[in-house]
Amino acid sequence: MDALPPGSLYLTEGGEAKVYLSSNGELVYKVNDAGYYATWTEYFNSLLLHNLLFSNSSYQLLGFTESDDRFCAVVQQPFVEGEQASLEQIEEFLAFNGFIKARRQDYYNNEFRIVLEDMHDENVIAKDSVLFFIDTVFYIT
Amino acid sequence: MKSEQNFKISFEENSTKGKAMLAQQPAISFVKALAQVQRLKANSKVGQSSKKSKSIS
Repeated sequence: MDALPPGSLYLTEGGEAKVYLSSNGELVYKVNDAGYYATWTEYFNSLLLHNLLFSNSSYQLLGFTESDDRFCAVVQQPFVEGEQASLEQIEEFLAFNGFIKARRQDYYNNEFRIVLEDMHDENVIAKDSVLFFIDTVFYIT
Repeated sequence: MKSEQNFKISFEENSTKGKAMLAQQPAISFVKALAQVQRLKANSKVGQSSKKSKSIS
């Protein structure tokens, strides 16, 4: 794809993605260089795991583009309005679902040998009693 | 901060409830979205050095 959908507005950026708000205020577009992954296969495995476990904030692949001379995937995700989850809420929820805190904000699931990294309070939105994981990094070990 | 709500729910239940919430969520303005992003960053209890970045990944 040559560009983001018309009317997209730059919102913020993290370690691997630039984030834009859609013109209708319902979605974010992430332009991701997969910099956290050794291969694009790892990146897409991470997206797949995210969509399996966190379908309330699922990604949809829109296409590919170039940003800052780097090949990037463009994905869309619902914009979630809410406040940050506490670290305790995140840990409680993930522990209940078999992900044990390993170090910093990183978790590990022994049964499926999956690592889930960077689950801090900027990456998880809390709304009533529901958590929205909006930025995950999965690895299969 | 102690959690007052029950987050001992399954991935499936969390997702189902979340989808229902999002279906009712009105569109957000750019100004409000930007304010939320800035608020999350400012209120984060995790230091920048403890967050994932390409240099420490």
